Amino acid sequence: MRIAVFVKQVVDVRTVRIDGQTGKPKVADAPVMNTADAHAVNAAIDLKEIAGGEITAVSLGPKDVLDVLVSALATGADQALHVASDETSTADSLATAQALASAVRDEGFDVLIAGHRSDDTETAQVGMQIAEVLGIPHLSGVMTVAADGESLQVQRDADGFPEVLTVQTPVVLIIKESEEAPKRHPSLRGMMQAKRKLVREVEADVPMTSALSWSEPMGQRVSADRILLEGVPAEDAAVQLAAWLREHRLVG
Amino acid sequence: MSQISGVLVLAECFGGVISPHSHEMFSAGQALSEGLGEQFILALLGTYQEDALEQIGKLDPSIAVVSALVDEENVTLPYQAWEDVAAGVVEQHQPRVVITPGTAFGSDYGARLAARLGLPMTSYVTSVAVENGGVIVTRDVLGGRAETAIRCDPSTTLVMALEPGMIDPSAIGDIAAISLQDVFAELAPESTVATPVSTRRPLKGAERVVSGGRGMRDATGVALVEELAEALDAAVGASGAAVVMGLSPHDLQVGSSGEVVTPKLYLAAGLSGTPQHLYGMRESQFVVAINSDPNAPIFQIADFGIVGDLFEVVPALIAALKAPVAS
Ligand SMILES: Cc1cc2nc3c(=O)[nH]c(=O)nc-3n(C[C@H](O)[C@H](O)[C@H](O)COP(=O)(O)OP(=O)(O)OC[C@H]3O[C@@H](n4cnc5c(N)ncnc54)[C@H](O)[C@@H]3O)c2cc1C
Ligand SMILES: Nc1ncnc2c1ncn2[C@@H]1O[C@H](COP(=O)(O)O)[C@@H](O)[C@H]1O
Repeated sequence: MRIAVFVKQVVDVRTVRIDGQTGKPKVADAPVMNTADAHAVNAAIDLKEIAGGEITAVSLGPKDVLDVLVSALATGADQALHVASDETSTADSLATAQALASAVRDEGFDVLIAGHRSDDTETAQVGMQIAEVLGIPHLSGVMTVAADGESLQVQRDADGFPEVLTVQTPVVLIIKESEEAPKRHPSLRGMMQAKRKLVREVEADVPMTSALSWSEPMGQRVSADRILLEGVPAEDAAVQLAAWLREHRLVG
Repeated sequence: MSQISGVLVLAECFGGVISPHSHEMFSAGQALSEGLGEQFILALLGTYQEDALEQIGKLDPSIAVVSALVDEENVTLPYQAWEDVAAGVVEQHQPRVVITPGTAFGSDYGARLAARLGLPMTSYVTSVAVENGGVIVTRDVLGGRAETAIRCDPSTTLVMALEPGMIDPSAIGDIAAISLQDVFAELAPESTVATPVSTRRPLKGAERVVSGGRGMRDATGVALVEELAEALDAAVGASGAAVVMGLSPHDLQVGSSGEVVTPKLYLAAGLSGTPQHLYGMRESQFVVAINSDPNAPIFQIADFGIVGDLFEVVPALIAALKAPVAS
């Protein structure tokens, strides 16, 4: 079975801080693999374990996205496809989906796996739009997959209710969001092996544009006397809060 | 190129009944059509919508109603049939704005529809407005901690899906909007682990409110939150997740489908601060948040935040409140 998995590089939203004075988000640390896509990579490996085949990790973006591709390879993907573009910040979900679809169209993939949504832009559109551009079906909310020849038995969450569907390949599977940490991570051994795996590059052949324009993201501005206690032992924090509540006459 | 005009709402009818979310779509569509001064087109999509069509009855005559029957017979996946019908309606009307359902079911075809027609799309929209003759919508990004405003080139049709529970629903003709309160009350299990509401301070009009969310986990967490409320002489509130999990009764839900409260003190423990929850408490005078995740959006509006485990912080806080005050 030929499996593709779409991985996006995003800012690490856990390290984004909102500047209380300006409301502007401040990005400190190095970008990471999108949370949902780490789950997608795991789902791809699960599928390969039962159905055999080969996994190609696919990412659209500038040279930096090689990091997330290597991370997918080190977790267990077999090869990587870098869809190169330096202009992805001006692309909307449709341009992104068109560029990714065009890069995988002639690769003969049976199953294409995407995450539910991006941590940064949170659109939850690209996976479905790749399927539409390729003219194939998608299934969202995917929990588990079993394979049987050309068809897959997919267990999915249909608006809170589990259902099992049998679908023919090719198909796009969009993995259900999960709060749990993914089973597999890039391993040191995987990192060594990743160096020997094939990484191909193609140019994105779609203009990275959009009819939409979006403003700089803005968080809440907070007053200078806002207090946030982090890493303070519970007892100390509680005593400070109790004093603050009394000071502001907020206790009954 | 032909001119685009009109605001099209693709309402969903299930079993002849218009979905609750469709009333939110209708309300947003109406606001945009008024703001833009353009025709409002209401399409009723569904396998069966005659009942709904009949009930709409005295709809404002300026609204064009389109009946769009979906035949799910010959498709593998139901959303494919909905997408086909929706695409036909959009192509026929060439609207300036299309509102697709933001429900789990509707999301399966909305983004595909936009891709099929080559149109820009934005999902999880929390507000819509018209500014300088153009549509402007807002949505959350970066884990709910920041917001962005999106505009669309006026010569292009904009496809959008709304975040459910964020736009006040309105009646569609004779069909009154089902209140979100009722929708949630129905989702809530009959009995909860919380103390019955009757013995508590009323949430409405309370000066102090202590609310718990999913982070309360079980009866132990619920009891802790109740005990803290007692110590602060506060009313108890809850998040939608706590209600759906059967921890708290629906009467205690704060948010767009619960109570809107404006106390002097709102203390939130183990709840993240989703847009629907913030809707119900953002006008509180002072907000305190206790949450183990430093990135929880609730900290964005907190005057005092403690990053920590509520199972440690809440008992310590109860003790600190009971301890004699040093003078
Ligand atoms: C149409 C519609 C209407 C809705 N209306 C409402 C509404 O009126 N009100 C409402 O609240 N919701 C509403 N919702 C639901 C809403 O979308 C969210 O599902 C809900 O608000 C989430 O509740 P929560 O914050 O408790 O859960 P979560 O978002 O899961 O947050 C739980 C939080 O608890 C923290 N936590 C976990 N364990 C601990 C611990 N030990 N100590 C400290 N912190 C901990 C986590 O870090 C997390 O931030 C609505 C949804 C829809 C679709
Ligand atoms: N630039 C990208 N490169 C690879 N995959 C992407 C990219 N953008 C989005 N995706 C995939 O599409 C999913 C949904 O993304 P989004 O619609 O942006 O929320 C992600 O979880 C990824 O699997």
